[in-house]
Amino acid sequence: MVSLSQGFVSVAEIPVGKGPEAIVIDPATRRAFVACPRSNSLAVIDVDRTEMVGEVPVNAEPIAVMYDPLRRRAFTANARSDDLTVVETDTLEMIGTIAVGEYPAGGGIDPARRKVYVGNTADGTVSVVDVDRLTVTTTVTAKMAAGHVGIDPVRGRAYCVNFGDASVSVIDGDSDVVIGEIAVDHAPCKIAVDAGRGVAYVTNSLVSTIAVVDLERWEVTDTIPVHRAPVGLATGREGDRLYVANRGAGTVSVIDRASAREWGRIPVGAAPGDVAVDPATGALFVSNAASNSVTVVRDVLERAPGGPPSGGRHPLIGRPLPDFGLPDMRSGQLRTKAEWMGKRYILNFFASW
Amino acid sequence: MNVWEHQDARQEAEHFCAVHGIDGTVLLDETGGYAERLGVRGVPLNYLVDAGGIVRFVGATTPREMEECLTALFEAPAG
Repeated sequence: MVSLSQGFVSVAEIPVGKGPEAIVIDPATRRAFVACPRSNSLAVIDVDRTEMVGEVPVNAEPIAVMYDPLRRRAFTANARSDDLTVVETDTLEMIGTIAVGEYPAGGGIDPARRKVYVGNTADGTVSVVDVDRLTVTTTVTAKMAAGHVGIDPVRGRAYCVNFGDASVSVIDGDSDVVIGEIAVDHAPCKIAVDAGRGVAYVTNSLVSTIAVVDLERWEVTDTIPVHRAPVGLATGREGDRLYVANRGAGTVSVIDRASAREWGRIPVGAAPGDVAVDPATGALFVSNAASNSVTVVRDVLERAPGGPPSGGRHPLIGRPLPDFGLPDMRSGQLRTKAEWMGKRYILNFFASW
Repeated sequence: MNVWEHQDARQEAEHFCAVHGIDGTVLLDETGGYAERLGVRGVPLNYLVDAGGIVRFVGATTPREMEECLTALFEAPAG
């Protein structure tokens, strides 16, 4: 049982478009892109200033977004118009529309092989798009309610998560042929691939767990319980952390990879559906579908919880504040608790970053 | 109380305080050693101490929570 709700630093809550879902970050241009299906737009965030710097109209109900760092283009998968909108992210101009299958609600990009994979949820297929020619090159049959796609550059594979089939389809990245299926738990939503370690993590939204998948053996080797209805997830800190957006709880689970345990929960906005990590700073960007916002937080947990729980009563309450002798920022002089004797005061802990 | 500032703590904290208009006493807990003794795992976090040096509230991270805690602290008999 995890009772920890600290171990994090709140940075910002950024208002974006309506119903924000998928979020991706381009560390090079310091931008985040957020698909906003209720306002049919792509929100653009400056990740350093933590504010929205643009909003581009796209087609109907964009749920997923993929980013091509080479050409600096974003591809929104528009579920209700059965197409992708291509946006030049430097100019924020819409440069094309690509028709795909029915109700494209998820996807992924393989920037090296120059392919975008789009999961067509209503027809259980995956459209493979050439990201340079902006055309569909083939359509692959996956399983019921195909959606999010994870890329494995080490094994040259794409993994399509089939929400309606409790499985992941394995697609060969060169031939675009389905070469197998991995059984996972009910209602899988998204996959995060740690290609170097040969593992992937899949959110089982219905049973509130994360499946740990061995990418060589194609089987689930561990199951990690999280909070309610996990949907989006991302790895951080060189793969040593896994962050999971719990849609039904308004939290992000912090999972320690080595122990495969949930170490903490970070409260975010309402109905968080996706999380992205800025590789430059490690900050988490969480899209809150019901708050029309993106929460920015930093995970500062250094070890497993075990100290004072934040749930119940803090063990220091009713007890003397421990003595301190610390340098004053302005004078450099050592200040001690004794100076405040007989006074009521607030000790505020903060960090400048 | 500025914590977990591993580089140029004083400079970073001064800059932060200037930007945010903080003019009270600011102490530097560079390594976070004191914060750790108090069980601080995340910031911002507040400890409200009464006139007897006893911790009365921990948390108060939102303005509403802070107001409630302060009201309770000042309604309590001094010491």
